[in-house]
Amino acid sequence: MNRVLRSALLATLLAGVLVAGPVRADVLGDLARATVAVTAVTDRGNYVGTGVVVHKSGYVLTSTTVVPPDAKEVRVRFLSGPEVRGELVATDARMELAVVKVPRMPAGTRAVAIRRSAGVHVGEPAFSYGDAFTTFGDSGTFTASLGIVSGTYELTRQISPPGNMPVYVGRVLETTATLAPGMDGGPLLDGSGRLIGLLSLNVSEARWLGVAVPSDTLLGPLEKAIETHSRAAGKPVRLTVVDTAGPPAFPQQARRAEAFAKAADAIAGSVVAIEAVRHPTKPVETAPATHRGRRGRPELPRTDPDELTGPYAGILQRPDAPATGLIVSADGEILTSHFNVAGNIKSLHVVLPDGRRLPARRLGWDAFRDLAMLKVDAKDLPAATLAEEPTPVGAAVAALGRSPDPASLTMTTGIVSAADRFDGTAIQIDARTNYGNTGGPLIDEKGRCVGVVAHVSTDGMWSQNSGVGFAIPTRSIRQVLDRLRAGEVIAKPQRGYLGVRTGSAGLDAGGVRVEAVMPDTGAQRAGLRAGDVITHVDAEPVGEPADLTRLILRRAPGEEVSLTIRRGQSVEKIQATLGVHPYQ
Amino acid sequence: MNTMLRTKALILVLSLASAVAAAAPPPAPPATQPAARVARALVSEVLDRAAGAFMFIGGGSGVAIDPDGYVITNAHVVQGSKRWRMRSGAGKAYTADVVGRATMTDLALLKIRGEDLPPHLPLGDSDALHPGEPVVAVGNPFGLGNVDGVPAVSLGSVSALGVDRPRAWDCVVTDAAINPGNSGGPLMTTDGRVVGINGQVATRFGVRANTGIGFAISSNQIRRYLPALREAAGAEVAPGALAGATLDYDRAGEARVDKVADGSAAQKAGLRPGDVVRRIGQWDVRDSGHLTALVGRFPAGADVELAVSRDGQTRRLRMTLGAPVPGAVGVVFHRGNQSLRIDRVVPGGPADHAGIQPGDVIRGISGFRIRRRSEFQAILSNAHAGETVHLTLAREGKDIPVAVRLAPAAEIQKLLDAADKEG
Repeated sequence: MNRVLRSALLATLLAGVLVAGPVRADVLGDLARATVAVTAVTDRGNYVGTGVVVHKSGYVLTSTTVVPPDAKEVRVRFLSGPEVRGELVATDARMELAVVKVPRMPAGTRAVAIRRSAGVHVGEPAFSYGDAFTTFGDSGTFTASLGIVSGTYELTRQISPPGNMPVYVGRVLETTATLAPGMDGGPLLDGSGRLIGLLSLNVSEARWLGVAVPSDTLLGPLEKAIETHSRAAGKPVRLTVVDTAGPPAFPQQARRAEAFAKAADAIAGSVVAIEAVRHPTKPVETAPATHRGRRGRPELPRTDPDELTGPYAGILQRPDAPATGLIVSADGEILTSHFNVAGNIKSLHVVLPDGRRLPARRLGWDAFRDLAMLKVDAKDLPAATLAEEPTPVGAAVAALGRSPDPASLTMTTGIVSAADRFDGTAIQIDARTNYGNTGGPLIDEKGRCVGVVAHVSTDGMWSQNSGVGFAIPTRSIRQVLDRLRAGEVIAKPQRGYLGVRTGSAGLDAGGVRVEAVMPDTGAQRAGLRAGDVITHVDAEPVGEPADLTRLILRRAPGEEVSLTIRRGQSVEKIQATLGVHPYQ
Repeated sequence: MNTMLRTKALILVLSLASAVAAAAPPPAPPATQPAARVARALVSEVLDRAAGAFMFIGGGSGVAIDPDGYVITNAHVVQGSKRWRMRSGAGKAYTADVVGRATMTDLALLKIRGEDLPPHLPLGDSDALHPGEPVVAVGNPFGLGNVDGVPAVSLGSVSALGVDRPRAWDCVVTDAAINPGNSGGPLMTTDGRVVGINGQVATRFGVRANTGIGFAISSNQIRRYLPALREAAGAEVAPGALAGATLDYDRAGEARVDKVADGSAAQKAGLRPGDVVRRIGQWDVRDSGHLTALVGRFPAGADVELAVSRDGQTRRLRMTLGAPVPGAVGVVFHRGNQSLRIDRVVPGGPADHAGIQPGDVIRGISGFRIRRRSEFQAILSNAHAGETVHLTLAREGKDIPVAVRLAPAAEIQKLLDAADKEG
């Protein structure tokens, strides 16, 4: 029996006993039998991706990023049965629409129902389905990801990866469900498994989350293509289109999504967009090696990318899109992430949900907590109340934003991943955070504001939404709220910094191996080199990288430390003067 | 998606990171509404159970899986080191020895020294999972827990099952956030069973952060390797191979045996040229590539049952799997430096079949960008005959992706010798 079908069967058997609630896995089972892997042959090479059967007579909806208009040959693989040749019925590259007709389909193949996207709202459950990273070709299984509709807005530019086909520009549905390469052309489905959009490769620079071309955009051309083609073939068919969702495939997910959709409504009036225009900054020399590790790993969130230049400065630039803030007093105090208003500001505006665009000024800020207070001249604004209780690890939370479209609220949901990051000033969340929603509120299911999203990753566009995000909880906000209101600039705590990147080598190494020495740091001036093994800091032994981190962070900048190192066969002592930790 | 992009959409092994953070006592839980409370109760309960068994190892993660102090993690977390100090999520320090590693399936087993052993989490049955089921990943993403000692938890769902990747067979795919530093950490069901250890993340356009596709090496893959890992005495556990059988990789839709070497394990098991392997163990076989992956789900030395079609009949055979044969691409580089420019293509070898030409420069292998021959050889040293590697070649200013099915290194040598004689 096929793997996915077996899984679906198992799921049905297990449905009654699951801790997390019953799962109507037949929706995924049906979907597995409606989804196809598509390969198109062109003069430029082969294209691969996903498609979905929209009519039982053999019409498959896919994307022009999978089947370009000039495709010479289209091959379609179903969950079972041999590969079949498809006929390219129609394409409309402006909306990434491609329609393929296959002459025959394996027994049991399903067609998905299409739901008009007009009634789709932000916060409702959604899932994606398709051949992510060619898992179908490799392992005979498609990939499903559960999420929500996290935004709906207009895309005005093509952010298409180099060498790729043109992608759709216009109104999109955004989702937190996975959209990985290979899933393009596949379906975005509502919580009941009805198709609400076509997964696209375009993206908002403010968000870097997956988007779909809404079904309402596709329906006209799709229906016309199928009706014309089927009439010409002498077997006219019509698509089935519905207006609403059916029973949810994952009831618990649906309940939570609905609760958060309501909760978001309650606070939406307090969530504002922030538009900052900066003076062009004079390049400042920095160490490019520090903002991308040799392995390209993301570094700690940093608060002031304007200070960065060098080869990666381009990707660290903010997108040309608003950020988010939160009204905290009726007379116009707005809390946001310091990142959003840092740098040499030329002009600063706040766009209220009712469309008013007001000039704003900065009051105080705290670069370490990544918070800033803004002020606009207004009265009777709907101020959000900061929750009294802390949110525990595991609690469900949602991050709200007003970007790229200030008129439209975005919402990403997740849980609290860890308490007390960054000296206890922040919590870690797995709700997707990005340029657009940074500075916006983190809410719980009751709609209470439990924090402000901060410390956005500035390591590059695709490292947005890594699932490691941060928020400043209300307890930490309250510690500085009055000072921010009073216009105070709160100094960063000064912590010692050696300037090495270390690798773990186990106890065999007898210390911590230096992988790289950062330029212009105490470590470099002291003559440390890659390959040295640090065995002691002063008299204290160093067994693992965390030991070194702890021992160095205990010291203040300017202090001198004595490092015992092994270099080749010799053991040496080196004196190093600590600098200021750049990340805090 | 253009196939060019497919090669750019790398699958990278999660690795080590260090970072800065500090501890404070966790806050007390407040009361919330039912749905959120259910989620929180599940996650916090899982985390409570996991804390003592969860291990920070180097910059990665691991988990204690039995009462005797055995800890499972990724081979790429322990690297070449024999001894590790680790701390549990509950803050206790342990010293452990690496008792076995299986680099090809990215597993390593450690045993904690002494009498004071951590609590453990049971291995669950990953075959009983189903897509859509909620799962929880516990780990040390980006090394954030290195200082405050607190692991992070993320919630997601099962996206797919039974996915075979290079260096990771029989994976559970999940959309729970896993990132560098999560390596070796448990993927758990909401009732606290370990159904995999997080090993790889699929990246979009080369950025090493989660894009919603994470691969965990399944608990059942761990179970199949566990006996061999326990007995390995620190040594490497090789994956299984149909030793002595050469498969026909050009046939679509079936796995046909092309040749069977005299005196080989395959011959002893009764395999014959022309046999079509339909099943191995519990799995149906789709084609030769699939069979090669399925065989890697067992360690070398495992006894497996094969179902083969021969003359219209199905026969059941038992075979003791051998170890894989080292594979080679069949190219000769310019002598004397680290250049990756190809001097010669061995006639009739895999590179020749794939259309590789003298003058091509190898820029990437298996998703890794490489600059030196030593890097190429290091990656290839783990690959075996029958496995497909994806190369990126530079030719006339363009990057060209090619897939090469590795041939046994010994066979390449023969071809090379023959060509030299002719030439």
